Amino acid sequence: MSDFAIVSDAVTKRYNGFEALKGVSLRIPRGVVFGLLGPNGAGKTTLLSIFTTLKRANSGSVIVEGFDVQKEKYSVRKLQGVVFQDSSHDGELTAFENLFFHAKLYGMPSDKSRKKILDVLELVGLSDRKDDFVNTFSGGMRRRMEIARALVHEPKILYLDEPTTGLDPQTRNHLWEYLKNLRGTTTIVLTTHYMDEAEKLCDIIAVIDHGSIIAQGNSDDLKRIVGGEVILVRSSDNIIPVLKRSKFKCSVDKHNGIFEIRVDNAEKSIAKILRVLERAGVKISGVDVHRTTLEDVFLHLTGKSLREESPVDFETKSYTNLGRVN
Amino acid sequence: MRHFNGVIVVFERQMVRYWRHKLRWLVALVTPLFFLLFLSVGLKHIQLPGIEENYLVFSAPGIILMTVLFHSMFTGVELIFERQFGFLKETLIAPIPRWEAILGKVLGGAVIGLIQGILMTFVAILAGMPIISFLGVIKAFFFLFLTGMASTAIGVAFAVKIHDTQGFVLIVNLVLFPLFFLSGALFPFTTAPWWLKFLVQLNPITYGVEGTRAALTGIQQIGFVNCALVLFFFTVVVVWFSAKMFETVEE
Ligand SMILES: Nc1ncnc2c1ncn2[C@@H]1O[C@H](COP(=O)(O)OP(=O)(O)OP(=O)(O)O)[C@@H](O)[C@H]1O
Ligand SMILES: [Mg+2]
Repeated sequence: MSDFAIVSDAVTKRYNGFEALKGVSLRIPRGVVFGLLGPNGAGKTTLLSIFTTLKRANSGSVIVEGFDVQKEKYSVRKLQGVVFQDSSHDGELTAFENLFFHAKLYGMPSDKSRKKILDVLELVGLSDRKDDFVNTFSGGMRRRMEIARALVHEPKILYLDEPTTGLDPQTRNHLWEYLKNLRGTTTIVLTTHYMDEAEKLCDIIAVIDHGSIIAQGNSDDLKRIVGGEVILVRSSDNIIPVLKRSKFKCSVDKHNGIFEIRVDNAEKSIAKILRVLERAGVKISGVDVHRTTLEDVFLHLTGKSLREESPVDFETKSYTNLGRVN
Repeated sequence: MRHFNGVIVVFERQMVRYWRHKLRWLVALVTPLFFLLFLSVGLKHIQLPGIEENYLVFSAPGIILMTVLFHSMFTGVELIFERQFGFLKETLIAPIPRWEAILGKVLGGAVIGLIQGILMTFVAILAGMPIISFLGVIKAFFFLFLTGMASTAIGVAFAVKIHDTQGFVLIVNLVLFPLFFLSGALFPFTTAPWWLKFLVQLNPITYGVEGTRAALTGIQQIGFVNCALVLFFFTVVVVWFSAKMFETVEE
């Protein structure tokens, strides 16, 4: 068996003539967290529904853990857990019942499933609501219930279509921790609009737009596409010759009295650059850093932003103020 | 055993839901009760041509069967709700064959119909319908159950194609009323005009009505075994058909 949990080859999908997927080829290694990043309508959900056997591709092939999704549906279904983008529960059953019937569908014996259900409900913080009808849950609680349901039968591959949309920060962090712990034993494929989620969680990120994968790699790989990060230095002295002499690997420009120093990785270079400047006696009145975010990558690749609003999180801010030196 | 796993889960879930909505289902009995109490009892002393028993005895089994027919078919509407609320996806990607899910649904709908039918049978007995034997009652329930299966299967097949509840109710009523009125439930078809007689004999539900009536009251216009065979064959065909229809569902 190959090292890949999922291998898709030139997958296309049309909806009444509209081409939602235009030949998607992906290799997802076993045990990684794989992120699909893309704007609304990019084709993320469509791709997941083909991987999960919910829809048939018009052409191309998908092999999941050695099984063909079209010819060996049941084998594929048995080893996957899916959290859909839209709700997919029975609100007239309790949380426990939703999970219990799910476990039975996947052939789990009752004594085993009962224990496991309590565990996963605990994990998503719904233990005390387990016997309430899901209809009485808030949107975020329903989401958590569905995440728990996808975990009950201990799937080898976990698909999460925008799993944390609508979750409060605490639950998101909690879920991320859990997913990180699954890394290695479970292959996780998730879609998201959130940069921080993709960055913190995903080993590999594929950017999808208009039904095609336009870039792929870990977040550092992707950021390199944009061509480095920028350290901004405010100074009345000319720092360009200073940096030239120091042979530091960077390029410098001056805009409106602010020097823009372009480096591969701002976090790693900033201390060194400041030391060089200070040693040369340069007077610095302010420093700022523009770290490349996946948002920048996306803007660079597609010319549009991923999402109008991002959740407030310091990681997603493009400018990180490191404070004033001097 | 593993093979019927899906059937059992789908069936069990439906039973849980039925029990939770038992009041709603009891209320649904009001309509057939109207037929039984106002039509059958009201016309009780009408003498039918060629039938010795009174009209209550003649019509009650048909009304009991009608209850099953209507209530089972309307359980198909659940499929539409499941699609609307997204729950259907959970079933569609479960590692069970589609026919298992359908069989579970059909059995669930049939049991719900049967329970409703049994309740109606009690009311009919209280209203004055004598029964010929305990075995007859069991046989009647067998007819009710088969009718319930067939009826649920028809409802499910419609629900596969019709995606809104109003449309479903409209179409299902359009199907149910001819099935009911042309089943000989309310009149003896042997003395009806030839065209009506023809239509009644063409209607598979007639054989359910006839079988139930024969089993409960002993009134017989078509041979009992023929009734059982026709109804059984019809049920198998429609259940198979609705399973085929369900195979095509994508989302
Ligand atoms: N059932 C459908 N019928 C017709 N077109 C569809 C259907 N489902 C999706 N599409 C179209 O296919 C494209 C991709 O949709 P998809 O749901 O896969 O996007 P997505 O990347 O998941 O978007 P989002 O971030 O909004 O969830 C869209 O243009 C959408 O309009
Ligand atoms: Mg989507």
